[in-house]
Amino acid sequence: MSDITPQSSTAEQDVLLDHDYDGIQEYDNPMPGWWLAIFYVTIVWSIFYMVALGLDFIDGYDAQLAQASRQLETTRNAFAAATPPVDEAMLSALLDDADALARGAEVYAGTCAPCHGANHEGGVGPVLTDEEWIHGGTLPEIYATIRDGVPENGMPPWGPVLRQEDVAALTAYITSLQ
Amino acid sequence: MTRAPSPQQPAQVLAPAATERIRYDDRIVRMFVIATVAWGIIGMLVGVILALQLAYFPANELGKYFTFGRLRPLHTNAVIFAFAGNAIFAAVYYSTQRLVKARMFSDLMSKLHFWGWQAIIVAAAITLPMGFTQTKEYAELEWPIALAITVVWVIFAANFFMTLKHRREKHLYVAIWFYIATIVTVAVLHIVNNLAIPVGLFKSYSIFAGVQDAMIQWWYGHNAVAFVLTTPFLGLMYYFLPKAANRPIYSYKLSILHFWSLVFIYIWAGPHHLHYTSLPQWASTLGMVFSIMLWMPSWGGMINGLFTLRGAWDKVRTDPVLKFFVVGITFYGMATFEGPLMSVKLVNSLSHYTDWTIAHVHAAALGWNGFMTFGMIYWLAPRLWQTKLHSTRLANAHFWLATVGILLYIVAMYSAGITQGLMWRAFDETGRLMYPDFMETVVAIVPMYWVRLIGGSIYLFATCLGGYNLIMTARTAPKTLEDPEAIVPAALPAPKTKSTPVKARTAGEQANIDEALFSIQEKLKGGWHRLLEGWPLVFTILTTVAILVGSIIEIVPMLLIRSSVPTIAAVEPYTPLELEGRDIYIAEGCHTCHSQQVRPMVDEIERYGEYSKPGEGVYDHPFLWGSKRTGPDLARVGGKYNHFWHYRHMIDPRSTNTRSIMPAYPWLETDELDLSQTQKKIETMIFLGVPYTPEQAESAVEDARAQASQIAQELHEQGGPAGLHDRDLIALIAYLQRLGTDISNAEGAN
Repeated sequence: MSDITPQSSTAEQDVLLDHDYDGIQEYDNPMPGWWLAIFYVTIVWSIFYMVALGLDFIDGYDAQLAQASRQLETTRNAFAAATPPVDEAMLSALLDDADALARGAEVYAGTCAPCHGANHEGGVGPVLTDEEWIHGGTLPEIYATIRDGVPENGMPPWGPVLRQEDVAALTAYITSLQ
Repeated sequence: MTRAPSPQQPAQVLAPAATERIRYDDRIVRMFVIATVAWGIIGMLVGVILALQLAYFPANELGKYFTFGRLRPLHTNAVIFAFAGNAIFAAVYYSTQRLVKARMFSDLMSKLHFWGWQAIIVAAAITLPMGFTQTKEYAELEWPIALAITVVWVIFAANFFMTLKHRREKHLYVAIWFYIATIVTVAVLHIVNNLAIPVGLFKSYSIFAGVQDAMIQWWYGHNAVAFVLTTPFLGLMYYFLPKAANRPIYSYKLSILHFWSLVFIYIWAGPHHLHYTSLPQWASTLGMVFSIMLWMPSWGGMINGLFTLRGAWDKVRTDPVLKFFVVGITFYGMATFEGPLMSVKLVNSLSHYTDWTIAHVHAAALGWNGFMTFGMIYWLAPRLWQTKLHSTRLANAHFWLATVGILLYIVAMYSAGITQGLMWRAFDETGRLMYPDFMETVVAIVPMYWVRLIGGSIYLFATCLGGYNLIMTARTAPKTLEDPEAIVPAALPAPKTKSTPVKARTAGEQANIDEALFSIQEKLKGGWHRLLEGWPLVFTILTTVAILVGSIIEIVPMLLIRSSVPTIAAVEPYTPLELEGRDIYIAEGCHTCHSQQVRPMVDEIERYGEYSKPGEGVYDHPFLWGSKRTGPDLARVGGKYNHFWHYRHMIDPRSTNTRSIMPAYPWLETDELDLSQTQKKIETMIFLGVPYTPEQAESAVEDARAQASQIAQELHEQGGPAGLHDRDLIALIAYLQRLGTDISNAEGAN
C-alpha cells in the first residue's frame, strides 16, 4: 500500500480489471498509502480520545465551565478592586461632565427611547421630564432603577447589558433633564 | 408491456451468445430531469426570498403564510427532496438500467414513483406555508405526507430491487452499491424519525421527547445529508464521471474500502449536531470521533473521482460536463474536510448556531449536489433528447456564474458566522459581555446577508440559464423519441447445481466435485468482494447491518437507560393554554430562528441564564432546540419581560428594539384561538406518557380559557388592549412566559 504514488503511475502502467459495466472499466490500483495511513491514524486517535475522556484525562463540559467561571470571577474581582464605587458624589460630578452627558444621551437614544420616548415624553414607560419619580428621584435611586430594572412593570435590568460607566452617564443625563 | 422479459429461462442451455434485444426506459429519466430543473429553480427562488428577508425584514410582509419561519422549511425540503431528490432518481433510473443490463422492472411503478414524488412535493409546498409542520429539520412534513413518502419509497425500492433481480450483468458495479445503501438507509431513517401520534389530519406529536427526540432527529438529519446528498451522488459520480471522461475508475480496491467504511461510519456521526447540549456527553463525543474517522472514507470518493480524470485533464478545459464534475468533487472534498473539523467540540462551540453552518451546507449543496446534478444533466440532455446540446457556451456561462455565486455566498456566510460567533462570546476587561445586546451582533452581519443575497441570486440566474439551455435542447429533439435499444445476454449464468450428497463416488462424481472446487477457486480469484457483488440480496443485508450497528448502539441506550435523562421533580407538563401556545410557536416556525438550548458556557449563562438540563425537556414532544440563532435563545425567556413587552414585540418588533430584523406578527392579535383540539391534544400527550390526569384532559378547554382570561387581564393592566383573552397571542405569551421557569421557580421555593 505504501509503494503507491498515484501521480507518477501513468495510465499505461495501471492494470485493468476484467470489469466492464456499460463500457466503464476499473483499474486494479492499490489504495493510496497516505489515504490509508490517515484513516488508521483517525481510528487510533478516536479510540484514544474516547478512553481519555472516559478516564477524565480530557476535561468534560463541567470542568471546562468551572475553569471559565473561575477566570471570569478573577477578571471581575480585579475590575471591582480597581474601580471606585458608584456613589452620590461620583454621580453628581458627572452632571457637570459634558462628555458623560453626551454619552448618556447616546445610550438613551439606543436603549431607552423605544419605551420612554425619543423626547422623554413617555410611552410604554413613564415620562422622564416631570417631577414625579415612581422609584425614587435621587441619583443613587435612579442609578439602581436603571441597573436592576422594574421587571414586574416590564422594565428589564440594564446592569447586565450596559457598562457600569454608561449606566452612570445615563443616570446623570436623565437627572439633567429636570 | 414494456416490462423486461421473464428471466426464468431454463438454465441448461447456455449457448455462448444467447442474447436478446431490450429497450431502456429513457422517458422516465427525461421526466425526472425536467422535474429536477423545475423544482431546482423554485427551491432556489425560495432560498433567495429567504436571503432577502434576512437582509431586509420588510420582505417578510408578504402575508401570514410567507414569513421566514414558514418558508424556511419549504426551501430546505424543496432543494433536498425536490431538486436533489429528482436528480438522484434521474441518475438511478438512467444508470441502473445500463449497469445491470435490464429495463426497469415495471413502467407502472416508475410512473407511480415519479408522480407520487411530485405530488408529495406539491403537498409540501402547500402545507408548509400553512404552518403544518412536525418541526424536525428536513422531516417537517406532517404525518399523512410522511406516510405517502414511505409508500412512494417502497414502490421505488421494489422497482429497483426487482430490476436487480432481473439483471443480465452478474456483478453489481460500485454505483449500484451506493444506490442500495441509499434506498435501505433512507427508509430506516424516515420511518423512525417520523414516528408520531396524530392529533388531527394535519397535527401530530413525536413519540419521542426532549433529549431523546433531539438524538433521533439528528441521527436522521445528519444521515439525510449522508444518504440523500452523499451516497446517491457518489453513485452518480461513479457512473457519469467515467462515462464523460471516458477513463476507467482509478481504483476498484479504493471503491470497496471507502464504500463500506463510509456507510458504516456515517450513521454514527449525527450527535455532533448536539455538542454542549443536554445530550449525554458520551453520545455527542461518539458523534465527534466518528466524524473524524469519516474524513478519509469521504475523501476516498473524491480521490477515486479526481484520479479517474488522469489523462483526461485536457478535456476538462473544454467540456462543461467535466468542469461541473471537477468543481463539484472539489467542493465535496472541501465540505467533507470541513464537516469533521466542525464536529470537533472546540470548533463547534464557535460555529454552532451561526451562519458558519449555513456556509458549510451551501458549499456542499450548491457546490457538490448542484454541480454534480448539472454535470449529469448536460451529459444526459443530448442523449435523452437524441440531439445536440443547444449551446455549450451557455453551459460554460452557467458554470462560471454559478461558481462565482457559490464563492460570494460562502465567503459572506463564513465571515458572518465567525464574526457573530466571536461577538457572542466576547467579554470586556471588566468581565462583562462585550456585546450584551444580541442586536449588535445581528447588525454587524447584515451587510454579509446582502452579499449572500447577491451570490445566491447569481447562482439562481445561472440555474435558469441551464433550464433555458435544456428547453432549447429538447425543442430540437426528433418528433418521436424511441427508447434506446440494447443487446444483452438472454440470462445470467445459472448457479452451479449442488453436487449430490456423499455416497460412493464414481469417478464422474469426483470429477464433478473437482470441477466445483475449481470453480469456487476461480470465483475467489476476483476476491471475496467480487463474490458478494454477485449476490444483491446478501449485499443489501450486509449494508443494512452496517448502518444498523451504529444506529442501535447510539439510540437504544438513550431510550432505555433512565440515567441518560435525569428527571427534575420541578419540571411539570405544560398547561393546556401553554401547549396551544407551543403549537402556535411551531406553526409560525419560531424555532427556525430561535434556539431553546443554553449551552454550558460562561457567555451563554451570562446572556441567557442557567444552562439547559436534560430533565427540562421530558414533556417536549417534539423538542424545539433549534439549530440556528438568527435571534437570541429563548430557553430562559419566561418571566424575563412582562406580557405587554411580548405583545408589543409580536405586533411590531421594532417597538421594543429599533434595529430588530424579526418579522411582525399582527395576525396573532386578530386570529381567534382555536381550542377545538385542546382536549384531544392533552389525551394524546397522556398516551405518550406525559403525566396529565384524565380530569385534566376533560377540563382542558375550561382551564385554557381561565388562564387566557388571567393573562389577558394582566396584559391590559400593564397597558395593553383589553379583550384579547380569545386570541392566539395570549396562548403564545403563556408559552413564552413558561419557558425555562420550572427550574428557577423550584430554586425560589427552596
